[in-house]
Amino acid sequence: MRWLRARVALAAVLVAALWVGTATAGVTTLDPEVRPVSGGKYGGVFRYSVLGDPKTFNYFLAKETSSTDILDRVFEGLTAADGVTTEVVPSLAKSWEISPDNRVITFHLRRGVQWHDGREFTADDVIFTFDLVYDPNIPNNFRDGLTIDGQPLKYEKIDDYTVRFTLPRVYAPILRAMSVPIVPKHLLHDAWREGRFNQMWGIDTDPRQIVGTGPYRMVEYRPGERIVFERNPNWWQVDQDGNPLPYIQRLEAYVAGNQDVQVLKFLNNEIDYLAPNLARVADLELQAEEKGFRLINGGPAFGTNFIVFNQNPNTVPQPKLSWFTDKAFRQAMAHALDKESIIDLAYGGLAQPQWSPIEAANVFFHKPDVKQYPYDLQRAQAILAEAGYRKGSDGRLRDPQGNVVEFELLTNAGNRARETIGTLFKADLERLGIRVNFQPIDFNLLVRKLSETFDWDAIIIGLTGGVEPASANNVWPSSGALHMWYPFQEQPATDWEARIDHLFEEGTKYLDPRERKKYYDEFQDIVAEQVPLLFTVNPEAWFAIYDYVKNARPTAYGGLFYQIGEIWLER
Amino acid sequence: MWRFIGRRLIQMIPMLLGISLLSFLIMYAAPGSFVNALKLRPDLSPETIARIEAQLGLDQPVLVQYLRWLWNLLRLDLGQSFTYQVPVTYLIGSRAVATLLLAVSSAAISWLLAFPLGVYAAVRAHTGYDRVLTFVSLLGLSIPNFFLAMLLLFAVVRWRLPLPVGGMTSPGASSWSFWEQVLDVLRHLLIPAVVLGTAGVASLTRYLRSGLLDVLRQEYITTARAKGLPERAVIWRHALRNALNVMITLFGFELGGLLSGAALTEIITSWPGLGQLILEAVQSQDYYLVMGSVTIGGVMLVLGNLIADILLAWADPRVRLT
Repeated sequence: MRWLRARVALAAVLVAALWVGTATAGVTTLDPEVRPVSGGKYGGVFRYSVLGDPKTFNYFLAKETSSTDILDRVFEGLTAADGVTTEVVPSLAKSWEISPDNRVITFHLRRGVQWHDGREFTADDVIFTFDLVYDPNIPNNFRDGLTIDGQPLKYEKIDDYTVRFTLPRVYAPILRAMSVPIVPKHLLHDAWREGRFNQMWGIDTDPRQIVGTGPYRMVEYRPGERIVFERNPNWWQVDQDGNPLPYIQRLEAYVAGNQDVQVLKFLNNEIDYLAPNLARVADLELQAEEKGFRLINGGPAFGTNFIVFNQNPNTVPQPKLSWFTDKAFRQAMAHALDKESIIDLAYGGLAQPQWSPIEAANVFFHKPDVKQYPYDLQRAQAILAEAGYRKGSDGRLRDPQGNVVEFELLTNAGNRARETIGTLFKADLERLGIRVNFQPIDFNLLVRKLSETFDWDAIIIGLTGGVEPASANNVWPSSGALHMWYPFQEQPATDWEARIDHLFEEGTKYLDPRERKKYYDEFQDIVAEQVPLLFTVNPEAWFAIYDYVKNARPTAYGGLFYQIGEIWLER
Repeated sequence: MWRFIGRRLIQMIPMLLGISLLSFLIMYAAPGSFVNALKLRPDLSPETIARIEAQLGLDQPVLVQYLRWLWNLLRLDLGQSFTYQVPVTYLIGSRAVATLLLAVSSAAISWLLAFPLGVYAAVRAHTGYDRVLTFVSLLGLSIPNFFLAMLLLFAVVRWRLPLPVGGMTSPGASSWSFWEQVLDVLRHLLIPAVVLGTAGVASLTRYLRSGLLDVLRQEYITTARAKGLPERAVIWRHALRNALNVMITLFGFELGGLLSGAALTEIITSWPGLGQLILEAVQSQDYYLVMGSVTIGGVMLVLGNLIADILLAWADPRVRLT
């Protein structure tokens, strides 16, 4: 009898131990993602600087990076992009299946993911988020990327952890677009029903009420000063030993007025990390060893600067129209662009020439061997001569009809890089006999010319870039609003523009990236040959970070924050 | 006197109408609009941008937009900011205290320094001391505020001074004791207040100097000296009081400008003030935020001048309020 009681007692103790053990275990997620990191130290405060205040805490109303950079710590989507390879990876969705006809995607959500207030994340939140995306009263950034040929996706909840999307046709970019941040239904649904969604979660809201699923949540916001984040103890990513990430306890983002002040704060060790202006990298390097930080080259960045000539027959008078629509003229201009000098003068040597419309940073889609136009004024002269442009006895270049070649080059004032580009280009064209009137003007004026009046000759401007080539479908298809040299075409004006239209149509119809690459490769070759846009250079992304920040591996694409959960501080 | 005050307050109304209408028209006439920056985004379609415009009421004719704002103003509603999508009163309110703090402390520095410097400059006019002071004043006047701010911040880093590089409070300060928090804010306030204060000293000193010089030439000053009054009494008790008219008027303007903020200095020193907020609002054509600030500025200006006039009447019996 005694051994029976002992056994029961032992069993009871074991059960109790197990119960206590599981109750105090850190991880409650049933589907954690194991990250390739281990041994990090918990705790500490990571401090960095941002250039402007967030304008709203409502991701669906956020229109600029000052807001989204903050909210990206708090919210997550079904998918995300790997900070190193740029590929689409699972996030809140742990896996998905695509039907054989490529039109139906079924997402399996991670189970046991908690909102910051403890409630569980389920398919209801996903459905609610997509209701918001397609609501015509909520003007958001996500809808255009989730609309195919003008049609929204159909979406339905299969069960608490499964959501199914049906596309009107096969559309490759859709998986990347599924990174739209999921917001909590239990906190926002009533407001949405009552039509108050656009008033929710402005910056007058207590930051603790902004609830997401991400590694950090906001705990303090002092306008004009700082935003403070605390670690989410229930996050779904863990390290190799099963410990929940992130390691760092708090993040503090200080609002600084300009980049020079940021550098001062960094040198004073008031912040731990900085993405410095390229012009400051050289003198930061001089102080790096003494002060205990290092500088990391993240590689070429996304985003482009280019010179574009106006080919719009509705607004450009002759003879300028005949020059700008002449491929030989544009190719000669390309040979007159001195990219090496731009790299040295505008970027302190820390940039690479760009020849293709898809940046080198886009490692998968970039085609490195497109046609190049090395800086060669004699070659430029020869091409122009072949096309009938002659330099007169007064040194001025004249077109085949005898008109003096002269035009106006504009850009937005205050952008040092673009002003340098304009000055260099103007000087080089002078040597060819072309007089250029280079004029930096007010940004708003420039935008009006580009989007409303279309009365300009040549402009230096740039666009932000992304990994998905189809995301530029306002730019390359001839009917696009940002098809800079001749937007809103009803019919493609040239054969090559018609071909690009076709390539962009076809390019989204294949899910296999290697199949898609064929279309975008041809696209890059056409653009390099026709040079409607003269690309300049891609600056490198540099990062300055103190040595006590461990495991920091910033990249041009992901910055440092793609791995914010995997760094730790050792002081 | 009350009729005077009443009349002034009533005159404020057409003035505010004029200021607000003019500001609105100028902003409207400037190229582009609030949605401009969105037009260069490759990921936003023209339809989405048009929808945003409609939501903000930007597709209405200009007078309709102005009248809508005016109608809301009469109900004491300053509208919502386009950028922040929160009430303008919240935005201005959240920064008002910081702005006042900076304005009052920099004004204190300017005025407290200007009085002794101005008096000495007048009393020792045309001597070496006066010339040195003139030179220093002009130097202070010529250095742009933002540059001086950058210089001081650079000095903090270079010589490891125990001052913070910008901001208004230190992280975690909300859990400190009251006096520790006061000290913290004062440490952060030092550089911006000094920058703005020294800018003001120069002109105030010049005004006081010339005003006092005029008075010192008067016959009753000679009489006072002849009567045997000590020089200190002559200057501080008699001459200065008569030279104060200009200073009082200037003080009125100072009061009027308390909530304007100093944008560039605030930007450099990360001081969370109104100047920064409104500068960005003007640049992005956030109509309601700018109009809200313009209205408040107009009201402050009128009140400031009113107080100055009343003070003037009290200080100088020759002045009669009409």
